[in-house]
Amino acid sequence: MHTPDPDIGSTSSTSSAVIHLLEARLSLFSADGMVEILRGISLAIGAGETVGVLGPSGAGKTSLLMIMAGLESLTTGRIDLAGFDITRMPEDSLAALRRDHVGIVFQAFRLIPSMTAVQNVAVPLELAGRQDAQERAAAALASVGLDHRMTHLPDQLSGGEQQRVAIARAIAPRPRILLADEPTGNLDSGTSEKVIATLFDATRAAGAALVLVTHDAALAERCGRVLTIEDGQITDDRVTAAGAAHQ
Amino acid sequence: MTLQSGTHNSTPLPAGDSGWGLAWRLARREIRGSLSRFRVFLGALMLGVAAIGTVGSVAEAMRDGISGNARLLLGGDIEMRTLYAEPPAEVVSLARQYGTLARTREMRAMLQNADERKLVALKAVDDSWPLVGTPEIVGTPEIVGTPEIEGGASLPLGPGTILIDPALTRAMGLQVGDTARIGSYEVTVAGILAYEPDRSVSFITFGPRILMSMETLAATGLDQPGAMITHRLRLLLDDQTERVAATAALKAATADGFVRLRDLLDAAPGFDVFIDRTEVFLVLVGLTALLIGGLGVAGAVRAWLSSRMPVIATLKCLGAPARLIFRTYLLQVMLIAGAGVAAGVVVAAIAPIFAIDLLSSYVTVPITMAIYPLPLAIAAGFGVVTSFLFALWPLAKAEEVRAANLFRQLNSMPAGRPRGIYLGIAAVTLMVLAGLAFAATRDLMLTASFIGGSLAAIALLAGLGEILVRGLRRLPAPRYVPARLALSAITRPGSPVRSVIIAFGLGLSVLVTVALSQTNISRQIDTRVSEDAPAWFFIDIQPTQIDSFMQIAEGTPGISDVGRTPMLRGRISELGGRSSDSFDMKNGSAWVLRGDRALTWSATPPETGEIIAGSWWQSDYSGPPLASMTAEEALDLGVWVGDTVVFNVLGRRIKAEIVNIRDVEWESFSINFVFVLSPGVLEAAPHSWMATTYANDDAAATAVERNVATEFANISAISVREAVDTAQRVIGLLGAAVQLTAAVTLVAGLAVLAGTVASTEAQRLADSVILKVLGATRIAITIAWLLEYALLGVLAAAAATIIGTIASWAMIETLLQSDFEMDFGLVLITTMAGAAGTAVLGLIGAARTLGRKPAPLLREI
Repeated sequence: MHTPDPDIGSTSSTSSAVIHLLEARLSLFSADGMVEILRGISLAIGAGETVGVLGPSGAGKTSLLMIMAGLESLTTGRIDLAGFDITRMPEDSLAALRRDHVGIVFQAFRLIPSMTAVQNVAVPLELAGRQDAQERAAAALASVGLDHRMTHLPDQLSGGEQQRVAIARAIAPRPRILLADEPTGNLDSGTSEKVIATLFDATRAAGAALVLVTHDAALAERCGRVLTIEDGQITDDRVTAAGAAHQ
Repeated sequence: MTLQSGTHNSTPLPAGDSGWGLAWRLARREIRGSLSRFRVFLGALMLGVAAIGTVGSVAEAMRDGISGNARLLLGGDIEMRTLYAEPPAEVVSLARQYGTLARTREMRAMLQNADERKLVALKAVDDSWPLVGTPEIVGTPEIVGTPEIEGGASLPLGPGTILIDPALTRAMGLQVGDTARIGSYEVTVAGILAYEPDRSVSFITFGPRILMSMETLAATGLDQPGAMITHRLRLLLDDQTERVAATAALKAATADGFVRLRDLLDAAPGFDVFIDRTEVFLVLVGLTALLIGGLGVAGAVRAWLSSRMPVIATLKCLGAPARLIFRTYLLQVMLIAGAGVAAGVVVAAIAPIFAIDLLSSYVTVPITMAIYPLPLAIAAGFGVVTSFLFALWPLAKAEEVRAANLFRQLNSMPAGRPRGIYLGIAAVTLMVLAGLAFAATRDLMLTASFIGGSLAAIALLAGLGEILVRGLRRLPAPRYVPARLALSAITRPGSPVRSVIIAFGLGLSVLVTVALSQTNISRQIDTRVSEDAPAWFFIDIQPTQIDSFMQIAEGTPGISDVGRTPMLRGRISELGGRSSDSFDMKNGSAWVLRGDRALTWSATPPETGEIIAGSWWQSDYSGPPLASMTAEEALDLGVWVGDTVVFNVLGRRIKAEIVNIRDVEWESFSINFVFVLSPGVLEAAPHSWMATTYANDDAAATAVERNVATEFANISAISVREAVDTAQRVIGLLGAAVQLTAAVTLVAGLAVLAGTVASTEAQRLADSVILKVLGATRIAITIAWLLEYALLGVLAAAAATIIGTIASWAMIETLLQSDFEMDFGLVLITTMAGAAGTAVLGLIGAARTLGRKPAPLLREI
């Protein structure tokens, strides 16, 4: 079992860590009262590390991802992302942090239906005020093998193609962190394989850390490290064979 | 595990690019396919802008028509008008120095053809008339000479001939060549007067026109001392450069107030006010439509933004700051609003051509159509500001959409109030709207009342809606499933019931108020006419004729009562120490000061009308002039007991002290005067008498008119029944005008309903699919929706009935001081029509959803 270092910032092994969580707790209101979703998670993920997150439905996997994306605020505890303490960061600053450092890939692709593939990919670059947004978006699309689909609207693309556009959009700003939530959940197995290959290639090329939430244990094993979450807590944290081989 | 704070950075990062340039780029891409969702929004906006722009353009065209044709309307460059007597000789000779003069005399008279008599507006002209313009005369050449005459040529009005209004050919069957009697003189119809150049611009006239020469008038014997004859002396300047000098000289010569002088700047005095008031009324109608349509705008924008929530969340996830979201969607809304406003402006630029065509049969002002930028700009401003105001709330909530929604299936827009800054922007926008309304109406009080009244009505309807919905929530759930579904759809949190109640409730409230008030007023008039009203008013009775008249009238079998009073007209030149010209002519009682006022005198108080302040003079009083004034007019004009009033009667200035105030029921049909003077002041002036006759039956009424006409050719009889019919017609017209407001607001309400249907479409679709899966037939779902919308309609109608009844009750009981009677049938019809209309329209809007197959949608839900 990979043991989280108690003092992440002081160890050389984690000095390049891009995600730090310390005693992270998340509670949300529901019809039945307050529900504790995450129960004191401490975790460090280093730059370039690939981490698969496994667990049953309702265990808190997606909530952990939302915390890491700055989309949900911790109830207690602390989170650092790409060197920034985002625990109480204002929403617009969080948006800017995501824009510059975090790429997200959703199960449902989440492309903007009114924009072409290249326009979709260009959005975060345009938000960052980059003059070369279109060129970089085109390059990102080419890197996922979609240079022939630049001006297609999402509904003119297959599911696999749409997810590859989403990956291109996530990696185009060269983020330090890539978060993927069941990226193959809406795809058939053949297409899934292509998409996963694209995702790993793109992550590697960008030198980003990848956190991949999935139900697919085999897919998780392709990451360097696997976390298992049950009932809001990490019950297992281990280096995979792939991870060991890489080390 | 600890985190070393020193190695970490919590300084907020610079927010992302939220500039207008990027917002514009994103908006341009995002707007694809959105236009179709805004059809109703576009329609409502276009209609409102077009209505306001058209009204403004037509009013401007009319004002231009008046100023551009002032000489034609005035009949010359300067008009001098006097009552009873010609302008003084020195004024006439002064005027003659500046150019050509034309004289006319106008009065009411009875035209008799066989046994038929009709009140007509007689006008006698001299050989110089008309100085400007060309009358159109249709007639037989043998009698008339030439059917079409040129300006300046002599009119075919020989002795004993008249030209008649086309209306008389219909009313009395008179044709060219026929003979008729005026006064004691027989005249021949020489032609039909199709157009009279200097005829006053007015919608209401006292009888059709007959035109004759001065010689013919003299021969009729109607031109007697005390007969109410208006003398007009028109001057056409030889040299236009002398206009200022001539006007100044003549004004100085007529400063005593007996002669009223008008120049080209005042060519259509009453009509100017009429245009202003009509414009204000119609602009407010358009603004009401826009404001109610605004609720539809809000609904449409909210529905559209709900459908864009995943995109908004995605943009936020990719790093878009809240402000960029707001700007991106604001730009889209305003782009669409811009399209609606532009379409409305185009319609407003074209529509006046048709409106003027329609108006030309009522208004004699020559109107030339052009494009008037100012009213179009104001209308466009209304459209843009209203769209912004109503889109602001949902837009402000859109920026609060959380990116986390992408991970969870959250379909509803964030609830609650937007951030304080947006409430501030809304308040400023409301002020801009008020400013625009002021620019359009130029009436601060009216604008403030309108905005305040609209907000109060909306608050009242919202409150009533809330009470009704809470009442419904307490009802036990019906066993019948469609009824249960309908009830829960209305009482659930976030239901659009409030918008629909406000939007439809406003229109229906106005409808109920108008319908109930009109029914009550008409009933009052009918009751009064049958119980209290005289059969005839006789006017222009000479002092030498009054005793004989009384004998004849009282001697006619079936005549129950005859009342009489002396009368002459004079102008009020000062009131309460202020010149009449200094009063606001839009004041409700300004009519008292505007024209020549009927005056009388009496030693004793009138039989009707209670004295509420001061006291009547002694019956043998013979001191300085005293006056009694009616209460409503005194209050409106700001005078009371102790103030003074100055009359100008035939050039003589009479100053009187107001010593008492009377409360008069104008609708009682008895003879009432605003001012009654003490005896010894007016008796010496040429005056006439007027009388009222009360008849037991129609036969007696007919007989007394015939007997009087046989004996006195100069006395005119005004039928109270006809006057009442005219009054009823005017009330009907006013009612129709207000009903127009209701109709327009109801049409705007349709936009809101459509917006509501659109905003609930996704929810409705999901509901219908689940219901179908559970085995509900399309009929059952249809019934549920039908019941839902019918219930919505009933709620709106119920709220409207409550407000409309209270408004009508207040109007009848307090303003008209009459008894209010509830008309339950009318209220029931209004309510049922509201419910049925809402149900059918709502269902039509929702029908599209019903036809969708469940299978594909189930995969999406």
